[in-house]
Amino acid sequence: MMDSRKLASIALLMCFVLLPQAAMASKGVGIVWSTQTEAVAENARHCINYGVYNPWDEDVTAVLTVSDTLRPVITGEYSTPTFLAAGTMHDDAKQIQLCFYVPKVYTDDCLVGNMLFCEQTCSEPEVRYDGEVIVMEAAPSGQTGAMGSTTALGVSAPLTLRVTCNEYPRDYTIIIVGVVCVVAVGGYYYFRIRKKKK
Amino acid sequence: MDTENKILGVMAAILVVLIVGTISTFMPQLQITGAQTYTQQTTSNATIQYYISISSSSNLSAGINFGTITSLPATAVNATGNYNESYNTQYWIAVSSDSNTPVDLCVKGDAFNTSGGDEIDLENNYNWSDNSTTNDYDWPDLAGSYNLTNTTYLKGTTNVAAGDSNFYRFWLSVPAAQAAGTYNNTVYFKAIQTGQPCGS
Repeated sequence: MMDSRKLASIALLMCFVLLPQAAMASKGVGIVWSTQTEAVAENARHCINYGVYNPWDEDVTAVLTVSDTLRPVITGEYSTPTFLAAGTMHDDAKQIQLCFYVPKVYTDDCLVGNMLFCEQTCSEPEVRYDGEVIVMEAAPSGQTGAMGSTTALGVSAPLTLRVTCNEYPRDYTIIIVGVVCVVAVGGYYYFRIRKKKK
Repeated sequence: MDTENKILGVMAAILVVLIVGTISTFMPQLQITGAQTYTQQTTSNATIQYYISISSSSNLSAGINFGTITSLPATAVNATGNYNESYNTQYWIAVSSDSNTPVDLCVKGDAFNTSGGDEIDLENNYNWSDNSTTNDYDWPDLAGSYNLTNTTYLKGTTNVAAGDSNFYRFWLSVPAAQAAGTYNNTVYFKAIQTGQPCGS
């Protein structure tokens, strides 16, 4: 049976080992990315996956946000806070899908209104959105009430969206098909009626 | 009579051609091509992946505190974690060894004000300095400090490698006529891949 002195020594030793670690406990956030430039079509929805992780000592809640320069195109569920357990390494990163809708950015040259007999010459300069995807702690750390600052930590990945332009000529097929159909149907009935009369 | 039958036949044939043509226009896979070629292809791909993670020291997580200032004007008041008994700063950011690219570190703050709306202008009043190699009495130093900006991030130390830390100190000056009150804000630290701009 262990005597009380030995027990006290073990307890003291544990305090020396564990207390400094508790005092040094750190928390942070991490981001994993596999793309920095994406070619995206206009008028379409796209999604890119990002990993968020936390290899540090304390659990954190993190949010994925984007820089102001990307806000015209990026909407969706990216701002949902995500819980990251302590000790999560990058290969176990939690996947967050960043989805966004790219609006129509290149103007069509149409003969009738904005819809009929249009062509796209892609003569305008390429539209690009340069910015970054940021993982931040959901709430700033530190006490308020004292003279000073709370702190917030983040990591970011660069992201450039290049909007592709699809060139296409003005399409008159519908007019030609329509005219020929009218002539053919009209002629068909005209001659049938003439035939019946005879 | 025969002529009219022929014309009807031609009209019907035109309609059939138009229908077939329309269908083939909208279903390109049905188009008949004149030549047939055989090619063999295979896909090739490689993905480059980056990952970075940072953490703040417990003192930095606890906030940057300047205590109570009782004499104005006050110049370059040290944050409470600027010096410990060994004259080391207690504020740092560590880059995780589970990162595969070096980082640049950027800092910005928002307005330093009271709940009542009094504000200390950050320009020339709230300073920070950083150093990735030395944490002693002299470094990070006030002489090499930056004003805290509240519009865009400012880049401090660059090229901090995985497993290394970047050390910080903070100072606050208060003009003579500053209204009494408890002033607060949030200071943001952001790690970016080395060479990238800090962004907003």
